[in-house]
Amino acid sequence: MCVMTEHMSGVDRRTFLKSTAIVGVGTALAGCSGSSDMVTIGMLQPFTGEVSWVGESSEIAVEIAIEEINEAGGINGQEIELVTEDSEASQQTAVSAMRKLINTDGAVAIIGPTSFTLPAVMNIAQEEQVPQISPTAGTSELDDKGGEYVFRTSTSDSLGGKGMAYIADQTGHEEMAVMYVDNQGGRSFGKTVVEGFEALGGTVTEEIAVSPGKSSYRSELNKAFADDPSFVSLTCGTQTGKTIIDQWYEQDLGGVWGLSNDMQTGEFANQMGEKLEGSYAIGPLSAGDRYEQFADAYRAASDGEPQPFTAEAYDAMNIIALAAAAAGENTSAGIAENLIDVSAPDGTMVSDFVSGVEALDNGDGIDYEGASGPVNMDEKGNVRSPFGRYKSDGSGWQLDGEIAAEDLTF
Amino acid sequence: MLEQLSFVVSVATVAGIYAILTIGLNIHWGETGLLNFGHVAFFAVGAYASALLTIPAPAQSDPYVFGFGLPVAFGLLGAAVMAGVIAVLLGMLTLQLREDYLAMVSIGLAEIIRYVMINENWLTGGVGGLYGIKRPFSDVVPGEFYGLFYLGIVLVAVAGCYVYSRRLKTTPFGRVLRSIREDEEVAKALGKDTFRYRMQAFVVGAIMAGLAGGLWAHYATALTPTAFAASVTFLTWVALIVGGSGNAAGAVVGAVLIIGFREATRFLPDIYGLGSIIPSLRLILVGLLVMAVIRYRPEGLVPERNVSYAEYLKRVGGEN
Repeated sequence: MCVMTEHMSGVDRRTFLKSTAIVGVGTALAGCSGSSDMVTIGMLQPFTGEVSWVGESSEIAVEIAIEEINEAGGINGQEIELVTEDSEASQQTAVSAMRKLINTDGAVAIIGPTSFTLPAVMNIAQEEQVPQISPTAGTSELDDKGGEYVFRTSTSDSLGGKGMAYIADQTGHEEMAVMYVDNQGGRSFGKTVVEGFEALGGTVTEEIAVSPGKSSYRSELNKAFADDPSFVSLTCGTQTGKTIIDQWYEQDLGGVWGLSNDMQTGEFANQMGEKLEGSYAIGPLSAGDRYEQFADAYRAASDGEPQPFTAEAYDAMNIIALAAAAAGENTSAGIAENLIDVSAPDGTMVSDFVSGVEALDNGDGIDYEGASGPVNMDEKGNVRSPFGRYKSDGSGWQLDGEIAAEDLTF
Repeated sequence: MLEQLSFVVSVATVAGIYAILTIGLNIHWGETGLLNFGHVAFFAVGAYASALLTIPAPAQSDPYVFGFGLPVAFGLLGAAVMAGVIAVLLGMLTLQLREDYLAMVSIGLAEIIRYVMINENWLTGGVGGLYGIKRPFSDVVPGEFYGLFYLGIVLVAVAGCYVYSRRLKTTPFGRVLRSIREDEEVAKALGKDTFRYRMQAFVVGAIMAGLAGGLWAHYATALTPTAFAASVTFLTWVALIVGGSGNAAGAVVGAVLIIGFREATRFLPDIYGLGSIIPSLRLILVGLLVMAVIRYRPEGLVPERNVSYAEYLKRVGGEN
């Protein structure tokens, strides 16, 4: 095992790559990369295929954080260099990509990947003792795993699902049908809605997995509303959601919707208009100014709106940097040890790298609150963020109540 | 040094697993002419079988009900057996039909298996999958050498499959398979029960894919249905076509080349301004490689050799 100081010696990566690219894989044998004034952070995300937007948008977000950190003089005097690798959303590919980031590029921490590939690379982080922080993996499988080297700044699907069950319970509904799109995220979310609602004493009348992107959902809707549930939870993307809600409205099936965070956008509520009036959605509590500040930077960097998980990616980079600063050394071990400390709610509240380093210099403990929310990591490396209960007034989502992380312990 | 090596080792391990898959597919398509478009199904069955046989009994909170805690060797054996059993079941239904039916039904099988993986939580853990799958001898082999050790296991398996596949070139069994591939009617006219031979070839190829699945399970230590997308089947086909079908060496060369090339292109120079299209560019290069091979070497890089009768006799050690 290469000790950490070796990561910081040897040739500069860019020169290294240019001079040896033609030789291909053989170059991997050439020697530790990364130079003494640079610290390498790796990013493993899908950059090709149908979820390529995840990689592209989170790279922009991480670069924003890196620019801020480097402008402030870097971490412990070293500037950050980001190396990205494409997981192709394939587990077999992600394994090699992860190895390359750690062993060839000498990354001291890894940002990513998504729930698709995380299961196959978790053990590498553990084995190589390199912390891995995913801003994008919602899978509830991670709830009771990780903590030592595997962390995330994205909230678990199970919390969102519990939040949805809590909304139905709080708004006085006793019977619920659950619809979710038939993919990993949809299932993981939908299943916890069912479990959560039953734990709260409610009855789930029907549980339906729907295929995304169909032109008609009439038979699924008829099945869901067969027992006249007063509340129907729906987890899917906006395209599928629009079709389902249009056809529900056409058929005048009654009840109200509880929509997942994918549909909790102003654009969607506006587009659906009065059809959604009185329905609920679960969404992140806006982190207020801090989020807006990040969103402005994101728009400036990309001429687009921040995508889902970008604030989480930005926060992931920031807490890595703060953890290294707290450790006083840019090493994997230092970062892994301090990640939970710098995010947990004990210490001076800071919302960016610069103020965090100042507080650390004063000898204070810090609590990073970022663009995505309070980012409080528990001992299993999960964040427990509060949610907002949003209600449609026929043209947009209005905040109707807050759901604290402590409310969701059933 | 070891640090640098472990990237190459991981690429080689994945390439080795694909090589086993490709040798299996070569027995289906290259030797017997069975058009199997659902190879990933056997890979998946093997992976889950081996995982379930070796993981400890489930805890209260786990959704799945099986977990036998057996040694990894039993897991790999079980992987091969289960993949073979699935192949027999599928073969009974389809192998008497014309080859294009097998192509369709095998795609269907792969989808069915995928949906079973996703839906049958009690068996497979559903979309959450299975975690904490054992690695063989992980308590004996020191951590820094483990990658190399596991690569060794994979290489032994590759070698075993390769040797078996080479033997097919000299045995009467292999000769019947090739005659079925060339003209099934002729084989029938010679009194061969071609259904039986097709079935045997189908099962042997599936067993290899199942073994590859088991090796993948113990390498990744976690399984979710997303690891078994149809793209695995098609990457295997690409490897077989590039390497040269009808030839075990071609299958190995193809798998190593495709996986190696795909990973080597990670080292493309990061030319300024190209940043985010580099990943796509890499995959385009792989596509170009496939096109170039098909255009200039349609029989693959290591084509099957036509063996004359005299040479054949010499190989099998016969007289005259």
